[in-house]
Amino acid sequence: MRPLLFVLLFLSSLAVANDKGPIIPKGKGDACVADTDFMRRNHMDLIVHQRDETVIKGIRDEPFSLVECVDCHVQKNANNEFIRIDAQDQFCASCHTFVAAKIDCFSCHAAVPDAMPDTNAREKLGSSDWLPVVPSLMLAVQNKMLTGHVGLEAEQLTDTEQLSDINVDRELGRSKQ
Amino acid sequence: MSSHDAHNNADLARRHFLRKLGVLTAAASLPALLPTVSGASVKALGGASSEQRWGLLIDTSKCASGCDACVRGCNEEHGITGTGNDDTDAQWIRKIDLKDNLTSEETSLPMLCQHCDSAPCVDVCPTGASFKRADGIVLVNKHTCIGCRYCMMACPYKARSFIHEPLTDQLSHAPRGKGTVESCTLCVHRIDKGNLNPACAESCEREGYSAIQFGDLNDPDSDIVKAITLSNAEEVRADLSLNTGVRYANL
Repeated sequence: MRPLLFVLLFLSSLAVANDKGPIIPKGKGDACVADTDFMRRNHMDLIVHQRDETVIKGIRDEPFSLVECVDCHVQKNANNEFIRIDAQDQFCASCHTFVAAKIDCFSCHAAVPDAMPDTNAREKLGSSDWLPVVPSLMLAVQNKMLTGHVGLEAEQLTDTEQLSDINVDRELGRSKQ
Repeated sequence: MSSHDAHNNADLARRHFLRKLGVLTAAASLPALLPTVSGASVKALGGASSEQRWGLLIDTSKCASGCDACVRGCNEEHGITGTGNDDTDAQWIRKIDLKDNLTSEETSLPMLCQHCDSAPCVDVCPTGASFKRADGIVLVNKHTCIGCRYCMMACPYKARSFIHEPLTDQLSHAPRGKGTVESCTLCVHRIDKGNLNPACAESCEREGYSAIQFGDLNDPDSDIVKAITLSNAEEVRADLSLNTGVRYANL
């Protein structure tokens, strides 16, 4: 049974997106500052219009701060270093590559949170060292071959399911972030 | 005759009626006018307000010639590192050493964006990216900046820098990117959080000189305004009548 599971997992994780949509890494905590549906449709408006309020009027006490977005949705690699949020298969690019909409936010904005106490260096775009971890060895190797990053928990979103409905990693025993 | 009287009476009655109507309208609209007069609505919205005008007072007699604490403090605060090209590296604040030809007196001072009231950079910007915020801080809105560098040409203080290389290690509170112009923000990210102490002033104080003082130029009771009045602080290039927010004492 277990070998079969591994084989199925191997095959399914070959895709970074499938007919169900892009695979988007899960963020910190239980929920985003707004509904997934709202965010999916409106995050671009928040980013574009909110920024005028912040830059020109100096209003910063909104929940939709880009720094907060990065803080929650950034992932770490096996070395416990932050991966740039605009790197391939990370939070932004997973959807934006799928819809072929180029974003330029992080040529200016910080793509990782400011240096945390437990990290020595920030993950640079496109480079990663990975440590083979026995339970997810196959997954790690396969992901490294494809993307150059160690794959972390990924969620497949459907139109009706919320992020919290997906419990794939529980079955596999992968550790939560 | 009686018809004339009647006509007059009617006119008078009309006049009285209109007068009463006018008084009533004025009385009714008075409460609606009062809140806008007090200006309370601006503060309630949050953000920058024109009630403050942030500025710096730099005492050049306290500024030591070889010291660059303010420069180091600013660079550290905003993640400004060298790119290997000294000529084109960004500098938000720099030290200038002056020598008076007549008296041979030497002065050292930091030069940074002066946050002018009538800033030339704001005037010339073709996109409106260079703007003056309500509280007097002159900023570059890098979303709108196209990198034409007209503001760099216009600035009499050479305060602005252009970023020539792609950057990857920005700090979260100081977004900077290739192709845009930047300059001193008076540490607006600190001010907006209530920390009224720019990095340069903090560095200078840590170094022991305390030559840079930050404060509200609109508040006549603030320390900075009192110090400016006492020291007869002046603007650099006062002949340009820019009404700068940065004043220098003992120049």
